This record gives sequence, structure tokens and C-alpha cells, in this order.
Amino acid sequence: MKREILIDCDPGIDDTIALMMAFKDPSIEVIALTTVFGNASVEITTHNALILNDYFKFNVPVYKGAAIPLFHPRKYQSIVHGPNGMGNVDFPAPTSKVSPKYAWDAIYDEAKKRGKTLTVLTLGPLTNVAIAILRYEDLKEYVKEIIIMGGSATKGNAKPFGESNVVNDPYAMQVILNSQIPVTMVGLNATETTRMTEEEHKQIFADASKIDPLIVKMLTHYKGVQGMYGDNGMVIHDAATMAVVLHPEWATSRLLHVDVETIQNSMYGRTIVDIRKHSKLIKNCTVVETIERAPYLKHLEKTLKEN
Amino acid sequence: MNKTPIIIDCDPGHDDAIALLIALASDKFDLRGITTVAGNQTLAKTTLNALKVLELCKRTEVKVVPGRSNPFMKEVIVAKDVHGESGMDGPVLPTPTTKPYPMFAAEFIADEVEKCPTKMTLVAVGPFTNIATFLLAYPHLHSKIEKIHVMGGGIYEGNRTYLAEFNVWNDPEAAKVVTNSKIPVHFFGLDVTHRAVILKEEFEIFRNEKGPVFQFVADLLDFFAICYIGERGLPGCPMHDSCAVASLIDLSMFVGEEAFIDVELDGKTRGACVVDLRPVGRRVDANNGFFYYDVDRPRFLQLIIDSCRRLESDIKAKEQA
Repeated sequence: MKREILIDCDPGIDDTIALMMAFKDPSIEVIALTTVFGNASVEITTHNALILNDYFKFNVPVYKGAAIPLFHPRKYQSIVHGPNGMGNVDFPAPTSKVSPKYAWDAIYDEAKKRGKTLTVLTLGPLTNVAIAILRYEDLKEYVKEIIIMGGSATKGNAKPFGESNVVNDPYAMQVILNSQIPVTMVGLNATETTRMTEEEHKQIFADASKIDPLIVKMLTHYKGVQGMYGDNGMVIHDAATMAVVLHPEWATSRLLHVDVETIQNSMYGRTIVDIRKHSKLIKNCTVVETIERAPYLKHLEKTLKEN
Repeated sequence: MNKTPIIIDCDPGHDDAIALLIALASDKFDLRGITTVAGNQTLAKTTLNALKVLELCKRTEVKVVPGRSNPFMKEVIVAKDVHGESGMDGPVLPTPTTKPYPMFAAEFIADEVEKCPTKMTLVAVGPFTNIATFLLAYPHLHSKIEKIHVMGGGIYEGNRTYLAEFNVWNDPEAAKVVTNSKIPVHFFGLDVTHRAVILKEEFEIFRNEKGPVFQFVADLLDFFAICYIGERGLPGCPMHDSCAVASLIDLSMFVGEEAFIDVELDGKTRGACVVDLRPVGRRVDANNGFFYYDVDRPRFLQLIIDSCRRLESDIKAKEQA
């Protein structure tokens, strides 16, 4: 039987590549997309999810979720994805419509009717899943696992130690870590192990004629912003996370205790990964540490070039 | 007369029970239901206590709907020291013949709000977990809430910490969702509820009346006094939660001010309310509610007595029918 996955996202340039990868993979079935604020407002990310749903013929329901974090007003606004959230690339306007249910209700309903087979993958701030957990105290009986692109065991991006999805709603991440649902964190420390070099980037894009020109334009914008932040090459965080979902054998990980700093200090939004060998704290999170570069990059290239 | 549609979220609780009596006795309310939350005791116990109060008053048609069993970020810490093992120690009431309504509090609130032709008023006298769950999960229904009357917080004093009051302290994040919501919130905090006391020498008013409701209140007061008069040195028993309901019947007996109200989540002041009452320098456009600090005590006491009397005569009428 195919693995069943619900993807919570905020498209999003790297979300787009991750979704392309997911829908091309015969081993999984994407049940639905849920949307959240993050790379842009929830209105924009929902609009973008509908765009992708039509453009790539995903044909899945799209459910809109949270517009704001759980408790504190939004503090962090990324400029990575441009005002339209898609690197200023214009896709054809969507004809599909958002489904009439909240993201958190969809997560619960889809999980419950399956009986612990549903993987929930999050590519944006964690607010929707957190509301599902708070609203449905029995959600843990029905969700198989939550896989998260977010946080970091090492350095951050939005803040020195803070990754933007978690910084956008640290409490939501803490709610998930407290939930007793198995959690896998694919943080920046892991996605950065897939960063392609300038040379590798050149190779993939040398024959760009096989890649959809809109995607080429998007990724050119994305690489440009990463360069602006002083990084060489390019890493597509959400796509790397999707690769972990599809090919867990490419990842190495450790089960550890993870906490989130929720006090509004310089560490606000830091995922604190307890690597002490003698730690007695409950191991609540599988922390991915490396992703095998070679097979991942090959898979990425295939995703981009095969239609 | 148009009745005010209300839902009361509570964790009975001695003062919760008296607040419920006031609500049940008043003909000003269309009481759509009682939702229960973990706070003064566990969810199972507070739910059972709500059912007991309704049974005593022969008002079992009112739905009791349980909600969340724990605050958002931590496990509940109950107030056994104040309310005893059962959450309503003192009075001995029979096991209720009715059962909780099989729905989740936040969903029940959403359903009732959606059905209600006018705006709904919410009363929250326990930790605000259920109300906040409703607010988070049903953002499109915020506009259908008239206002929220809460017992919680304090301007200058706390009880669980120097500044944090029990309901807010148990679930500060939920309280933050309420103050963030932009729905007008009326706070009856410790500043006013510690003045809204029934004095020791007034207990006999209730004891001398022979009906079951008066006796119930007298038993509640006797137990409540162990903590409040005996251990904490107050002149009487504070009717915390009753303030949030009594004010919906007659707001003129309370004194308060419009203010900007926020909740601190961190540090030594976690669970404390920030109430900006500065005459100069405060942003008036940021006002999101009212904070009360005084009460006309004799009128307040009279309302409680009148409520009991009304319930006694209703019970008698039902027994004769």
C-alpha cells in the first residue's frame, strides 16, 4: 500500500520543488495540502497552493489554515520568496478552489478515518498542526508521524540559532514536541548537507531546456537570494526534506530530546537539541543529521527534468 | 425582554457553583450551556460538580459539555488546597442522574455561536483553555461574540504567585489568546473579587434559611472559609467567579476602567496581567477590554441572596407540579 501523506505548506519556492517531487513519486499518495502563513501571508500561500494544484495537475483538496502564530504577533518576515511568495514568477491564475474546512479539521479528519497510517509533513510554520493538537486531544491516537522541515541542531537563518519556520511560531513547535506523536525534525543542519556546489548547480542547469522555464526562473531568484546572504551554491530545504520522506535510507538521525526557546530573548525560536550522552530528558524527536548528497541531487535533477 | 444568550465556561469550584446559581436564577439569560475545564480540580471532577449543581436546582435540561483536560503548554495544577479533593468539598450532594453532553466544549461553543441569531456572550471563570481553543480553531466566529466576562488576573495582586492569579497562571497562553482576540474582555480580577466577599458574620443568613440551595451555599461557605478566612486571613469568602456573572445582570455595582490588557508568558511575572491604566502615555487605541477593581458589596450580596431565594421557589414549584 502507498504511504499516505498530508502536506502542510506555505508555497514558497522550495515548497514548489518539494511538491513536484512528492506528486511524481509512485510510492506515496498525497491526501491533501493545507496552507499556513510563512513565506507569505496565508492568503498568498493558499493562492499559490491552488496555482500549483492546477499547474501540475495534483488534483488534491487544498485547505486553508492559520493566518497568525498561536500567541505572539508575528515578528519575522522573510524576503526570500518575494512579495508573491513565488520569486516574482507569474503562473497562470488558478481555477480550483479552496476546500471549505480549516487545515486543522482536515488534518484530524484525514488522520482519523485512516487509523494511524497518515504522515503529516510540514514545510512551513507549525501553527496548523499545533491547533489540531490543541483542538483535538485525541489526535495522537490517529497520526502516524509528523515530519518537520524546521528548526536546526546547529546554526539558524532567521536568527543566529533560529530557523524561520520555528521562529515564526516557536510555541507551535513546542506543542508538537509535547504531543507524544512521533516527530522527525529535518532542520537546517540536515538540509544544509544537501547544498549543491556552484559546479553541481552548473551541471544541473547546463541543459535547462528540459526544465519548466517558470521553475528555472523561480530557482534563479532563490539562488540569487542565497548568494545575497553570502552562501555559495544552493540548497532547497523543503525538497531535501521531501527526499527524507521518500528515501529515509538516505538520512542518518538520532532520537534526542528537543525543546524550543519560547521566551522572547536572543534565543527565541531556537530548537534546543540535547546531545548530552547522560541526558535524562525524554527523547521526543528524531533529529536528522545528514542526507546523502549524491542520490538526492540525482533525484532532484530527475524531478526537475522529467515531465 | 430580549434575553442575553450566554455560555458559561467553568471549573466548579465553590465560587463557580455560586456563580452558576446566579446565572440559573436570573431571567436575563438564555443559558445555552455550561462548558467545563480542568482548573480547580481535574476535568472529570469539575464536570461532575457542574452536573451536581444543576441536579440540585432541578435544571438538568442545561447541557454540561466537557472541554480540554489540560492547559495548552503544561499539565493542570489543581487547587486542592482551596477546593478540596472533590473540587467542591463541604456540601454533600447526591451522584447526578444525568451525564455530560457528548461533545467537545470548543466545538459546542462554535455550534451554539453559529446557531445564535444574535451575538453570544461568553463567561469564563476557570483557566481560559476552552475559550482559547474555540478562538484558535474557529477564527471566523470571533465576530459573533459580543464580549467575554472573565474571572481572572489582577492588577496589583496575585494568589498563585505574587502577581499571577490562578486561572491565568494555569494557562497564560490561553489567556493571551483571549486578550489578543480584539473581542472586548471584561476582567474581574483579584482586586475586585477580594472585595466581593461574604463576611463570616453573614454566613448565617444562608444557614438560617431552610431550603436546599441556601443550605448548599452555607456548606460551601463553611468549607471555603477554612482556606480564605482561616489560612489567608480575609474577612470573608471571596465570591470570585460570581463577579463575572453578576456584572452581566447589573454592571453598575462594579467599578472599573477601560484599559489595554495583556498577559505575560515569561519570567517571574509569567501569568500576570499587564493592565495599562496610566492616565498619560497609554495608547488609548490599544484598549481591548475593561478591568474592574471595586464592587458595591451590599448590593452584590443581596443579588446572591435573591438568586438563592428565586431558585428555592422554582424548585418548590417544580416539586408541586
